[in-house]
Amino acid sequence: MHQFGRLCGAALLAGALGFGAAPAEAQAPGVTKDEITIGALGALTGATSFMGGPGRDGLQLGIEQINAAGGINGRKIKLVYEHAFTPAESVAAAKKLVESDKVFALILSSGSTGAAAAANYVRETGVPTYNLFGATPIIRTPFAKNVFHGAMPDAPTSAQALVDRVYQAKPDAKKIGLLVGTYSFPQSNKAAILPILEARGVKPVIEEFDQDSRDFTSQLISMARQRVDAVIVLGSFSEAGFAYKQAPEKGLANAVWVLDGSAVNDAIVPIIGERDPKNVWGYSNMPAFPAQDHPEAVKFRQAWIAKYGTPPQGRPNSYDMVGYGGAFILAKAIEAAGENLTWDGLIGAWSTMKGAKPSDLGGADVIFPETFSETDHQGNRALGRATIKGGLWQTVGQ
Amino acid sequence: MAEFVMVILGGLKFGAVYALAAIGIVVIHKATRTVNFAHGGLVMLGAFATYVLVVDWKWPYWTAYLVVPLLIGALAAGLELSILRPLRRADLFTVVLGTIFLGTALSEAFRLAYNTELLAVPAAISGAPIFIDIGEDAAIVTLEQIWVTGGALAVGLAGLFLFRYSTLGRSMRAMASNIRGAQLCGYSVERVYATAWFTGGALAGLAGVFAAPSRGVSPELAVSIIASAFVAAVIGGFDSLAGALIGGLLLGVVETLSAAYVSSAAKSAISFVLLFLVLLWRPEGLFPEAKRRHV
Amino acid sequence: MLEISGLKVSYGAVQAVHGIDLTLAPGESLALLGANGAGKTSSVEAIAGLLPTAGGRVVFDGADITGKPASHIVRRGLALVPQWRELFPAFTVEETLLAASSAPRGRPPLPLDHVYDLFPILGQRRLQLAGSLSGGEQQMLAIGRALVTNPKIMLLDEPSAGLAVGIVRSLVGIVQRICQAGVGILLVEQNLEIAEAVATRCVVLSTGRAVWTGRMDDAAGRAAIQEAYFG
Repeated sequence: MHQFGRLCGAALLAGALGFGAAPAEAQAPGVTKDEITIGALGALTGATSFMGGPGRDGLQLGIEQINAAGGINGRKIKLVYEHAFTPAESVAAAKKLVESDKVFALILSSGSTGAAAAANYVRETGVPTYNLFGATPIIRTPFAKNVFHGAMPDAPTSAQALVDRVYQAKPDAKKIGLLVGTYSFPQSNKAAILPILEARGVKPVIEEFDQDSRDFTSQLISMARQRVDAVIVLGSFSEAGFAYKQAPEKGLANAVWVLDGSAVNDAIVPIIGERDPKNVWGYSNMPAFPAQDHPEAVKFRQAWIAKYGTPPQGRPNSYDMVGYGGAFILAKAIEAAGENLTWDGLIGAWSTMKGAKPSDLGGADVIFPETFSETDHQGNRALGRATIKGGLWQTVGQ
Repeated sequence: MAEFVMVILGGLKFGAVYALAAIGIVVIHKATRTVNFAHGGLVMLGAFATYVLVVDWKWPYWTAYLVVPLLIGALAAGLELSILRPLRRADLFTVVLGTIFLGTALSEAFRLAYNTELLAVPAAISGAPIFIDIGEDAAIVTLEQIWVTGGALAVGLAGLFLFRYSTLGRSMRAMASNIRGAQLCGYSVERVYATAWFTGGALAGLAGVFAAPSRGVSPELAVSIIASAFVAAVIGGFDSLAGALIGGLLLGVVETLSAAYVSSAAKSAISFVLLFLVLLWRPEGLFPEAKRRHV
Repeated sequence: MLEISGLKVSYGAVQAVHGIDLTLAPGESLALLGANGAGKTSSVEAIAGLLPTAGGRVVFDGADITGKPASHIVRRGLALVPQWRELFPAFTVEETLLAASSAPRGRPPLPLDHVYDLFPILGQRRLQLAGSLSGGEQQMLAIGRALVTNPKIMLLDEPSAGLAVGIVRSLVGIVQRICQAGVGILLVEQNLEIAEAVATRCVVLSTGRAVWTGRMDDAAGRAAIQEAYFG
């Protein structure tokens, strides 16, 4: 507010001195008469590139549609995307985007690792930040008024959804196994799940694995030995896929499998080698999956293919969708901030946005509507119930 | 008991693929005195070719078992001809360095071309698993497990017999034993080296076909296979095909046993523990071959 | 048949053979004599393609084979029995002979039985490993291995080295038989007695140069040989 006050003062002074009709605008960084520069960071190579690459492509697709429809209040959006995989790279990328590219807003299209690494920096600078994929609490708490969260719900919300999926599939489940990656994202979800299970009086069988593991012999044998009824996997689709596939060989047949959001990806289907596995469940933070036969998803997919051509296996994935939808949410917030763009103006407008969705600006509604308030910046809390049918993840209710 | 049986069978499945890769390394080393650090890259390309054939082109799976070894074999022979042969004029060390960089180049080229994290290949064979009653429990064996273990072992044994009893194998063994003597018999160094690289490459390709469904295709495959195959080869004495076969199976079983009864972290460490133990106890490996050159 | 003119061999900057000339026809026998370091082994190995030549021409059977690889030369019918025998220790006697007879070649190999007839002891040991044979038997196997390649000319590099007198005597008899069968023999020898028993002509080398060429029984040759050996 302090900066805003100074600006108003300057405008009043300019008006009083009779300098022309329009006040001399002290534009926010990254904003010119006809362009707004937005920065984004995420991994384009490395283990989390399944998020960063699609995030970039989805954002770019959304931005092109917004620009084609005339942009925001006459301005076009320009995206500057920085590759960042490690925490150090993520901080460096955020710094570069804010300080040297002078972006107006920053999008974190990395997973939790990058979001956690950049958290301090974005808090300090106050740059309006849109966290697309990071579920980590580090970017969420303590609350920062300039940081907003999109389709990816916070850990307690998704943890509750995972536990719900277990009992929806097997109401009498007693022994529950937790197969958890040792890296940041699964660990924060594990911390969120344990109290929920404890409240139900369930003591889970916990087994951990390293990132990018392909062999789950040790973990699966332990779970088979304790005869778990259900396995909740906190890890990536490839980790979950190989674990599921190896389970029968290790003596774990007929268990219910509930996969965390990052494993709910069509690329898991060829790994598990079944088109209709009867016991695999998950949640979706979107109304439909990229390949699902759903009008909005179809619209999105057609636009994606028109821009990027025949997709490789597993693309466009849910990160393409969230990136795409996220571009519209951010654009809507910018639009609501009015002609004279400032960071405070954007943050203020964003914090009061209710039920924003891509179709408001002509996009496909491939994400749930997002609602924000002064004290709650989690845009989405809705989660669908998902399973694999005919070789594709499908949302089948909530 | 049923669990133990499953652990052993699971270990044999991993081990059979290690063995196949290790045999390829040993064939190339035996005949050409070159330690091929690019072997993991060749296995990865074998898995990748399987992906292209089976997933992209939708050819029946069995064609991969025929096409991929020929393809990767030809590629390996081509690399020998175009890159390693000129290096051989320098010295053996240069050639070995060359294979290290060649391996890195293969992985990185793949990483550049396929930015996605992992390409998944469906199982060659699927169907309901078999339950074998053991006591009050049942051991579960999947068809894929039987196919991969049996298939890789059959190929490995075929390689052993080929090397031992065929004219082609004899020429490679002669070249390995005494390069001047082999030349004086009428064997061309170039031709035998190309044959050895073709054979080693074909075995690497087949290891890739067998490994693809259970490991997926990613540059990581190259690294993990080369590490395991090397340990297997060294355990076996590095110059013995039978040793590489046994070494691979042993490594697979020991790894799986330690994963099952110690921890998953122990699994990656155990291969090196096994390596040290074997080298301490029998520095020449479990199946040493005669090393004397001049007779 | 074999015509060598101006043959030079060098190891880096050191020249071992400074241009020697010789000719050899099938059924003929020629000894290459000289003290240690005279360049005898370098010469035959260069002729057989195991060493690169630094100059000169080797014409065999009407074709220029200078600088061709050893495998190519042996296929054309010029076989070398090398000084260190260069056997395959882990091969059996039979496998060794099979390795030589099954190598790619335009002409048919000699049957293995031919070798077993010449060296009955090898026939008895056909399943024994080459590495476990006695020195004399190994020399027989090396000759046998060269023989099954069906050579028109055979180069023998000091076949008597390190062998007992009795064994050397029987080897000499066998080399004579091979020569009588029409194979040209080029024998590298330090032992004058053996050279005289096998060869009719000789070339005397001293520090890489041919110092005398002529008939073994020539009196002038005697003097040259004495000079070459004892200075």
